[in-house]
Formats: sequence, structure tokens, C-alpha cells
Amino acid sequence: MTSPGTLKVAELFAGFSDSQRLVVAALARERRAAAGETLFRMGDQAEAFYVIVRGRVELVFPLTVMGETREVRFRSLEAGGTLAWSALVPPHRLTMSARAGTDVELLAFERAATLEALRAQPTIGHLVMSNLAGVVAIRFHEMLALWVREVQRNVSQTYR
Amino acid sequence: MWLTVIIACVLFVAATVAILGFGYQQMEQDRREKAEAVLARAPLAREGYCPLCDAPLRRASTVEQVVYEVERRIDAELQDVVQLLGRPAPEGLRRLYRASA
Repeated sequence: MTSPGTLKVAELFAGFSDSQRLVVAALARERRAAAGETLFRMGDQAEAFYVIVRGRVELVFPLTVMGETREVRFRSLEAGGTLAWSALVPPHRLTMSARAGTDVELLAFERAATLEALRAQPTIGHLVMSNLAGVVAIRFHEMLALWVREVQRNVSQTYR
Repeated sequence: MWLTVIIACVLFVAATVAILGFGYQQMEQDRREKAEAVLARAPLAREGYCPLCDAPLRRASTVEQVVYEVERRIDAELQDVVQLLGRPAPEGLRRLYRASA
């Protein structure tokens, strides 16, 4: 079983008591991946979400460059970061791919079992969903800022 | 008598050379003035853009170079955004949506 102490750095489990971490730790399954390995692909069903214990994971998206499609890094996540949070939010569809930037250790939480546990323990469920909202909000604000800047750049170049 | 003819010929040649020289200088000056007038009317060419049609110039790059450049740009931009989001509003928000060149 995963040590509850491992979950202390996880952004998704911030504010948890030791007993609450113990409950969540029982749901976790350890997963390791070598540098360069693909962890999941964009468009797949999110059957599990992950917490990074050690190493660096890169979120990538496909970009066509000179007729060739390449995976371009959008951002890197490190220990404590949450991956594939789409597993907790319908329609449970992954919106980016992930690959290990270094050798990584992850904790995987199966969607069905985790959602059932969160329903059974509403206090924990509320905390997880509050933290998840925070994680999603930060990503949303980052994306929004990048998008507005790109629009601004295009407008400035097109209408001079 | 011969001396007079020779002096007259030398003067004639000197006068001809002088006239040609002045004429050439005048033509050069006219050409320069016209060129400056055309340049003054021409739109300013921007760096990285074609001076004739203003289309962005394409650099010779490999796919790997482009991917590297895009990732580097996203990293820099995201770092800036994360930093600004961490600042107290409205100081950070004012710069959040401002695009760099």
C-alpha cells in the first residue's frame, strides 16, 4: 500500500488530515515509467488520474510543422502535480497527451473506485473537488492568457 | 602660327573635358535627388518581412528547429503568465493579456 506521507505534496490532496490521506492512499496504485515513455494519449478515455511522486512529466499536443505532425511540449509538471484530471470530470476525455520527461514514479487512481470512494465519504469528496477546481482554474487562466496574447499578436500583425 | 593653333586645340580639348565633367556631375546629382525622393515615398521595410510585399520572410529551418523554437516560446510565455498570475491584482492583470512581439 502507498504510504500516506507520499500524498503530502499532492496539490489534489492539500488540506487533508492524516486519516483522510490514509483513506486516499488505499485507492492508489504505483506506476513507474522510463524517460520518453508515453503515459496516455490525447482523445483516449481517462480511466485514471495520476499524482506525480517523483520525476517530470511533459504534457504535449500535436502540431503540424512543414507537413509533419510532431508532439510539442506545452508544459512540464513535477512532484505533487496532477495528471489526467479529466478522469474526475465528464466526459472523461483526455485533452492532451503525456510523456515522461525523466524516469517517473506516479500514483494512479482508478476512476470508478475513486469516484465511488468520494461519494461514500463526502468530506473527502468535497476537499478533492475543491482542490481539483483550483487546479483546473489555474490551467484555465494560463490557457486564457496565452490565447488572448496570441489573438492580440495576430491582430497587431494583421491590422497595422 | 603653329603655336597659336596648338594652344587653341589644347584650350578646346580642356573646355570639352570640363563641360563633359560638369554635365556628368549634374546628371549624377539629378539621379541622386530622384532616388532620394523615391526612397522617401517608399513604405518602411520591417525586419523579417519582405520590403516589397510585406509578407513574413520564411527562414530555412528544419522541423526539429521549429519544434524547439515553439517549445522555447511557450516555456517563456507560460513562465511569464504564471509569474503574473501570482502577483496581486491589478498589477499582474494589466500585463497578463499583453502580447510581446
